[in-house]
Amino acid sequence: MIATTTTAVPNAPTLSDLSALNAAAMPSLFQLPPEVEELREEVREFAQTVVKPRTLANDLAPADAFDWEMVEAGHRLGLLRLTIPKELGGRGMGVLGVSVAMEELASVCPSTALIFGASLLGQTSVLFSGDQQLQSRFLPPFLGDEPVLACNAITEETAGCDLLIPEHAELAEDVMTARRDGDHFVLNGIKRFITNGKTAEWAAVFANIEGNPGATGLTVFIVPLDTEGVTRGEVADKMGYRACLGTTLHFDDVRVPEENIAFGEGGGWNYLTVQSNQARSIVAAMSTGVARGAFEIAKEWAGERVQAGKPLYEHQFTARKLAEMSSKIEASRLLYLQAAYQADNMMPAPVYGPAVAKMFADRAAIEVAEEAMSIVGARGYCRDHGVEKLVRESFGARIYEGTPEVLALAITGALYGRRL
Amino acid sequence: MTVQDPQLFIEAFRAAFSDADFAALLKEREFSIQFVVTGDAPTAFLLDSDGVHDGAPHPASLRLEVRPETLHLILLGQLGVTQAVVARGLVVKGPVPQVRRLADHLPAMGRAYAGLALAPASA
Ligand SMILES: Cc1cc2nc3c(=O)[nH]c(=O)nc-3n(C[C@H](O)[C@H](O)[C@H](O)COP(=O)(O)OP(=O)(O)OC[C@H]3O[C@@H](n4cnc5c(N)ncnc54)[C@H](O)[C@@H]3O)c2cc1C
Repeated sequence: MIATTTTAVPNAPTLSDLSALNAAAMPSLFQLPPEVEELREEVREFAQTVVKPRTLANDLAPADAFDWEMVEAGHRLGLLRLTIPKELGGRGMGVLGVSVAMEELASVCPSTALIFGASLLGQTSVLFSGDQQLQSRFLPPFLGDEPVLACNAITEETAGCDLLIPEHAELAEDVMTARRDGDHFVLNGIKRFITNGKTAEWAAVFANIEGNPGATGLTVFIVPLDTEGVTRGEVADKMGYRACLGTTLHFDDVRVPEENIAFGEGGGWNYLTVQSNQARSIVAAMSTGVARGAFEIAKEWAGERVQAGKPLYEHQFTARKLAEMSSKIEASRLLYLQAAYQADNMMPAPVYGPAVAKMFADRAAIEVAEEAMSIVGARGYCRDHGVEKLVRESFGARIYEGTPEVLALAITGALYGRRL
Repeated sequence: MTVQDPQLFIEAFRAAFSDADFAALLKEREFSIQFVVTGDAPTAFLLDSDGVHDGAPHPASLRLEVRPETLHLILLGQLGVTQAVVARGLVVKGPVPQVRRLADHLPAMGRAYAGLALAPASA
């Protein structure tokens, strides 16, 4: 047996001194701009005081229940106009600001983060179009007193990932059609799983101009959802992300004026890749938040729960788990910050960094949430606890804005120089 | 000179300095743009409040890597900057908020360019 001795070192820092060295006090390569740091604090406060107390009730509510009161509180903070330039009345945040805000929200409730995130994504098409006519018609609702949501409608029954991979445009089947009729287009088709589809005022709708094979004529139409012929269908009964409503949207002979096209006829794919590369940093940040939320629960529990005479964190196997979880969160955060920085300093945002960040962070969120639940034990397996919800929701980000398989194609495409 | 000859852009931007407000705004904001015009005759030049310089003598507020036909349309006001990015004709490197500042300088550059590019001799 190896003998161990403990020698008291004078003036050595105690464990409690060291734990006071939190991440914020550490020197870092990344100094967030002051306005982003300020936003983080505001959103953290909002997440803790407004979102957290309602999270469980919103999760357990029927699939079609929607918490407008919470959205209104977020709107007062400016979350629905985060990316609208300051000179137009918004908060003027870039991808970095949105990402940091989304990490904070997702650490408490990914589902709430997605309500705001999906609305911002819908707005991006109008903002990015640079079309003042579209901007003056579709952005002001987000600047008023009442909360208003937007959504982004891509996915269809037969075309899922095919509508995210430009090289597969020709292979996409039964894609929503847009037929020209004078100075209007007539839209026909069905969109599925559209976050905020039930609650949004308007949608950025991706449809294929009739006559183009597959989805090669993909075009972005800004469509008010009270237009004749639009029907909001049933809400998907999802295993997680229950506070944000994913809905089917039916378009039956919906007439849309040609001035509602963003990026011109056939401009859909070019825009979609620009949008995805921005959005992937933001989703990576959400996954980082999911992992962090689950980790914080596990860390607290492992510090308090005593088994075999000592707290769980002092048991080596659990210590190893906690250390690995923590490392994955730090790595995810660095990757999303880097990707967001790139997106804020390069137009179009590059493919590689955001795809890598999302791929890593999505996987890390699943692994960390699962370990967190195992550390909390039976209590964590119960629905009233909170960690169980994060386990369910950790799987969501793997599906939207690029599955691991779609991301792998984007990453290898960049590695082999096939895509920017 | 054809409409998309990079020399035409350089000449036009030099001419833009006859607009005193244009030069003053560049100076006030310490704004500079490095252009890398791609295409058959790739050309790099830098525009700052002192004028137009060959190559890239110092780092700029923004770097625009742009196809000549895209720059032509942007300067004539027929294509927005973000639309040009989406259409794959333009890559902007530098802080994205600076792109909005670029928009403030474009009208003067566009007027000078239109004066040269649309003149009968250069058609
Ligand atoms: C919480 C949530 C929110 C969502 N919000 C929205 C929204 O707001 N707007 C919207 O438009 N959509 C939304 N979606 C839908 C989402 O974008 C799609 O589910 C996603 O694109 C995948 O499409 P699919 O489900 O039809 O799967 P499929 O495309 O059928 O894919 C199934 C499986 O096959 C794999 N696969 C597919 N193609 C390939 C390939 N070429 N190579 C290798 N593997 C492949 C996939 O990776 C996946 O594992 C949301 C989904 C979820 C879960």
